[in-house]
Amino acid sequence: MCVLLSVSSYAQDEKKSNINFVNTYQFTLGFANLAPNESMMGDAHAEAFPAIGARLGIFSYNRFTVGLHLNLHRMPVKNNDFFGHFEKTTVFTPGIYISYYQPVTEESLFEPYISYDNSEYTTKGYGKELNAESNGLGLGLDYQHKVGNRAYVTFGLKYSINKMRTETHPNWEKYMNNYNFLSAKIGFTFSKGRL
Amino acid sequence: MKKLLLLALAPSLFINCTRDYYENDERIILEGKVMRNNTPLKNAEVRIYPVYNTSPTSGIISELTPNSSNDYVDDGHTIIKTKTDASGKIATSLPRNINTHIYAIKISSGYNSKYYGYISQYNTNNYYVNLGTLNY
Repeated sequence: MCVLLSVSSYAQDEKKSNINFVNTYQFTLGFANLAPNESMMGDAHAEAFPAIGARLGIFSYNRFTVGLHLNLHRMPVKNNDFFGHFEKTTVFTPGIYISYYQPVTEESLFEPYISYDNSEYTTKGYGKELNAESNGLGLGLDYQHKVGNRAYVTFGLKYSINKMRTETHPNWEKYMNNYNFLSAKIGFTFSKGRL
Repeated sequence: MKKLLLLALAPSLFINCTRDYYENDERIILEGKVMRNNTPLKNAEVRIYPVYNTSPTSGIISELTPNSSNDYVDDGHTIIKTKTDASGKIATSLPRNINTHIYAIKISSGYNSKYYGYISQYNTNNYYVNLGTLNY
């Protein structure tokens, strides 16, 4: 009987440690719109700084986490020729992500992730406003180094593959709608029980 | 007296706050060429701006004369500001203005400017407008 209780208790402890809710937070600053592809948005805009990011892990199972992310960045318009006569574009990107962390030492881990990015662009300047939207796929990799009980200093790179929601002439569709870029970030992740 | 002053200034406040709104759900591609005396006009400034109070009846794009009653030239909120290339060519795109589908073109070289119009539904085909050759 004691053995059964002991096994049952062990199994429950294991279950508790495997599944968690809302136990991971991340806050970062960085650059966005780095190395954009040849596209209307990429050619028109300069690098964005600061790019502010936040992530909340909603559900974790073993090393997998599903959560929500919010990103905000503003980039100056550097080329008006094809895009329009504006000054700056603010990009607000909510979305969801799924990640998996892999410890590499006793104090550090890698966390690759993929995300769905739903971006809203607001461009302003010279008495005008332009609104745009895109769907995106993000492929990212974070390196996290433990600096406290639950705190990890975080460095990350993310490549965003976006499809603008714009109807245009078929010959120009690719240039108008395919907008990809790289982001780099540094910040902190707070998580319980990873290392 | 203060009330009178406020009443007098109120319209100007509203005028200063007016903003042109565009949506990127549609983009019209514009291509054309600018010639002067049968020679490509290179490095000329090209501005395109919305026009709110005219109704073109055809797709012909020609030089606008400000004295003509139907040709209203508005040099207000330029949506496109670009330059002709070495071959005198223009290539740009227009997002959708939420209040008008009509635009005029201003081409400047040196101290001189000429106006052309209109870009409208009559010369837009599958999100594309061929401006043709604009003689400056």
